[in-house]
Amino acid sequence: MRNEAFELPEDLKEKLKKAKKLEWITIVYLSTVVILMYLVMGSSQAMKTAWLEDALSIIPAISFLIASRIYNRKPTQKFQYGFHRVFSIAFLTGSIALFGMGVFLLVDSTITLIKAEHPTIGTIVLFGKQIWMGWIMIAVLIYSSLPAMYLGYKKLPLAKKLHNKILYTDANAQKADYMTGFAAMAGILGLGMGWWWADASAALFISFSVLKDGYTNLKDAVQDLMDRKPVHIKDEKPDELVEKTERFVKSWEWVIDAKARFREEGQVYFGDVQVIAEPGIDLSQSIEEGLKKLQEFHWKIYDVTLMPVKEIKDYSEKQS
Amino acid sequence: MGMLLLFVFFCSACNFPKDPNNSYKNAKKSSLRVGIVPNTDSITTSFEKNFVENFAKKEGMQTQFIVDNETELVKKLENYQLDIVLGGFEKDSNWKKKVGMTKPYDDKHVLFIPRGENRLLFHLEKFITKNKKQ
Repeated sequence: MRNEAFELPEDLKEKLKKAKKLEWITIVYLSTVVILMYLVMGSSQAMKTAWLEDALSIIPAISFLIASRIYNRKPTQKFQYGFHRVFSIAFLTGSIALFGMGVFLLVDSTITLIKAEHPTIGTIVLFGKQIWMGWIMIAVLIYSSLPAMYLGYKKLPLAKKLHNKILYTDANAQKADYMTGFAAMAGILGLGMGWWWADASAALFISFSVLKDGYTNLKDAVQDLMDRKPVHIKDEKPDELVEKTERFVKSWEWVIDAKARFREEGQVYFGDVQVIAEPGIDLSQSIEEGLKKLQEFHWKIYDVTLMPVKEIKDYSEKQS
Repeated sequence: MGMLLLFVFFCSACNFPKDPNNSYKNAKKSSLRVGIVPNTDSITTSFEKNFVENFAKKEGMQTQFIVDNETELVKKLENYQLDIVLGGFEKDSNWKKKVGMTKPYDDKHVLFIPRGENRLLFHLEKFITKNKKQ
């Protein structure tokens, strides 16, 4: 049980600082993208879809920045476990937004396609030349994809190190942003070729990808809040740290057997370890020492209860 | 993917964008079909008629004018039986969802064209830019 403010290990503090900086850059950059896209999108469904996707992708960055101001506060009278879960909430919020928008875009694009709406795209005069707006849209789409990809690549390793899901999701979505960009470009080029359906088809493709991301994240966020066993953010495989902790406790002299269970609270794990102790030892003393050792074991193993029992209750028999 | 995009780009940059229903090409081949809404504001209407005639002359198109009410003409426009409808329409007209519009030739009046006929639109707007009414 801990009552101090949470502190990351030194090397990770630096990573978090870097991540915050990148998220600030992301917000500024995406704001310019959203404004530019709004100005040029005209009646193109693909542009509208890509625009909404980009507008939405500001949410993870904002919620990460808000959450990262709160998560490490000292536990209070009211919030006695601290504020770690604020990251899980931020993650849930972001994924609901993404999922909802995915549904909306899918329906909207399908209707556009069924109604066979022919998007009308006009022209603009730039430097005294008459230019089809489609070309401008494509230029803006390039501006919306390439820097986003770069930011995504920069954020990805930080997210893995920090075990921060919202940062990871954000980075991953941005890394894949070129897909949206290219799909929208293909739609606009198709329009230019006289295929009116190209635009709405591209929009449909993009909304599928938004919906897929939204669904995966939503599932993940709900499972985290349901206290699922901790998993790696990269591949959803169970984190071996739980087993390692269990082995670590078992290795103590006074412990005959032990069983650990943990849940994710944002970036860190909370949980309990049942222990069968050797008879005749000073139990309270041993547990105090054990807790201290666990605190130094790994930064992610943050808040642990050591529970002396006569018989271990195994809740992990069934795989599900 | 990138190669494909480049390929598409070079093959068609010269006559981009195209009309899904070939309004521009057909207008050149046979004639530019223009619907006119008889309007109380005859000055605007006659200005627009003159404007479109000049456009046709510059593009080497024959013209063919039909006079009818708004509803009929817009319906014909939706079925690609007309290429332009004029009648002193403004850019926030109620027909916005059914027709395509050029940019205003003064500060608010637009011409209607069939939705999505982007090549016709391109040439009309080029003409509008050159002959913008101050």
